Amino acid sequence: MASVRVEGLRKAFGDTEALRGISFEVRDGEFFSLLGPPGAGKTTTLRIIAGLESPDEGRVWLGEEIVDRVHPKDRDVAMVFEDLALYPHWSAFDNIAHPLKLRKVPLGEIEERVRAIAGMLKIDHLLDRRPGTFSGGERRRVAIGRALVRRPRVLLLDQPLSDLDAKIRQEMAGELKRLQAETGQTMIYATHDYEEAVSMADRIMVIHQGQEEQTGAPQALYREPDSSFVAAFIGSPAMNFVPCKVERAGGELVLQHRAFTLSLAGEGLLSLPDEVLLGIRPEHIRIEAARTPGALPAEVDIVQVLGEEQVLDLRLEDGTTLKAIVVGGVELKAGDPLFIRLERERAFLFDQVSGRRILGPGL
Amino acid sequence: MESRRLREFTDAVLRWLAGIIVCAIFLLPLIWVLSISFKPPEEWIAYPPRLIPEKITTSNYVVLFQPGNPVGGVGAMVSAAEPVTRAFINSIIVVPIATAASLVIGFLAAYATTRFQAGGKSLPLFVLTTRMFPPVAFAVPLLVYFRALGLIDTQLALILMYTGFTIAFSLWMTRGFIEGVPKSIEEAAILDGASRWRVLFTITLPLVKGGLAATGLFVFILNWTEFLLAQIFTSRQAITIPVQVSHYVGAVGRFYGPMAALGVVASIPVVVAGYIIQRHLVTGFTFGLVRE
Repeated sequence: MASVRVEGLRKAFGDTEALRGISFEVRDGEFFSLLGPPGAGKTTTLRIIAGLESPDEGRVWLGEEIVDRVHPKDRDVAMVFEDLALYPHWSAFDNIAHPLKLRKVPLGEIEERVRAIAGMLKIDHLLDRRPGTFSGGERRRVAIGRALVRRPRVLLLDQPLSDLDAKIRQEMAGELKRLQAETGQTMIYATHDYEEAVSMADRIMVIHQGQEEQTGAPQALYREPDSSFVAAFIGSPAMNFVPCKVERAGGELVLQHRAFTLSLAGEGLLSLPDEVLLGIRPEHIRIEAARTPGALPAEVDIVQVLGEEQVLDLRLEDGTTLKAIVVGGVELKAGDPLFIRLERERAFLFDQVSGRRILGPGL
Repeated sequence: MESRRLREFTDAVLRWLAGIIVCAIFLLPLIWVLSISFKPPEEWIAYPPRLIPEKITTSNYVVLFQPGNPVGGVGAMVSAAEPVTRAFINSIIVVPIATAASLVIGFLAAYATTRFQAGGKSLPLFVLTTRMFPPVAFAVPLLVYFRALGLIDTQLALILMYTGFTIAFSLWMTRGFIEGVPKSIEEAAILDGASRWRVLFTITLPLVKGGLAATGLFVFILNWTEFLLAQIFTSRQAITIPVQVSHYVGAVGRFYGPMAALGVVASIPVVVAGYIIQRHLVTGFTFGLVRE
């Protein structure tokens, strides 16, 4: 097993630039996730690490070794493909044993190791059958087994859980996490599903249009998103963004919106642009029954009940809509008037043009 | 209820009837050939024709191998012909070799053009142009070449031509099957540690073997029945079965009996080959099973 480092990866396919300078480092034994919308460059990054694609610029290190000139078959990198790519003409056993056979591992040991990994993945009973009849979850287990059995330097997973039922997906995500903890396998996991990334990864790199948006621990990305893109991508329902004007009144800064004003206090605010995006997560909007100073009147537009939680679409006086999450208690229905309070200590300001975070958390 | 059962019944009858008619249209000539091959000379073109010969004889088959054998009065007629053995041996050597060579070259070319765009995007189309002209258009220049090389009336000449003329089919037919194998399966095998060649033989080839079998059978039949080039490029030593059939013509007319007998004998290898391959034609298509 080994650490992975990529530096300055660039790759264009014809006129489309898939990667525009991607750099990151994955520590030995780390569960690292590449998170981004479809087309962000996740798969291309993985394929370059595997050697299936060569970058136009940039380098890849596996451990201490620069592998630019190492053939993919000799890189000792395993990959679980999005379409899983099982060998349909071989039994699950032969699928999993393939990398070991190629490494001339003695037959007895192959048998032992395949059985061991099959046990871990709970697919012992499938070993003699071909993948044609397997369920989606079973196929993924076989593909993961094939990738893990030889203990590669790094295991790349290209959205292996997409198209699974939500329930099985959660179950498999949990198992993957456990497997990673048990084996200490370095893993790079590409996904467009933030929940998968957040629930499994030690660190996440959010990429967008072939560029890094932010890298950090899941909590850090949630608490301190560097950009409105990350803020919107992590969390569900997504963060609310409200365009506001910044006005300077007698040495004081005021955030001006048609439905409300917020006075900003604090140092270093002089460089604020005139127009900003106020970002506030649905879970950080509080509902109040009665008017208190600073509360905003609003009307319930749509109510989605998700067990204990209710997701509300709220309409402010000027027509601006905000999503809010309420836990337990009151039963609300469309048309109900109420008051809301934004938790200022959890709110952000973002640049309207670049999307970079200017202020927050906390205004 | 009654009317529905009646309709089901008539449906079944009509289906059977249609099947029988279609089969009759395709099988009648074959049955007729089989019938003639057992008829004595006086019945070959007798009118009215009889499906079952009045006097069943095997003499047509005997004279294939022993021209001049007086049995059944046929031998004297075809005494000028060679025994069929030589043509048979030639066909048995030339056709499988040419078919195998065409298949191997076509498959590898198809693999290279689909997976690596070898030779550029238009190479497969370029190869196809060899079939856009009638073969006879190539015959004269090839005749010049082969004469210079001393290959006239040799098995090698036929093998080269049959291989060349069928590569376009092998390439185009196998291309479709190769494209049916997801690229990621090959990439997975490479990451497992397999070389390109190993991937080709252990992953791709087994997955397309049904397609290769179908292509092989098709090319085999094309070569087995080829007449024009064999007629032009062979005279005695390297004649093939279709050429031999044309030799049963005399000054007084066609010797339908031996012709039919040879037709029957010549069909046997194709039927046998088809029967052997049949299993692979039906199975082999394991694609679409990779993901649900």
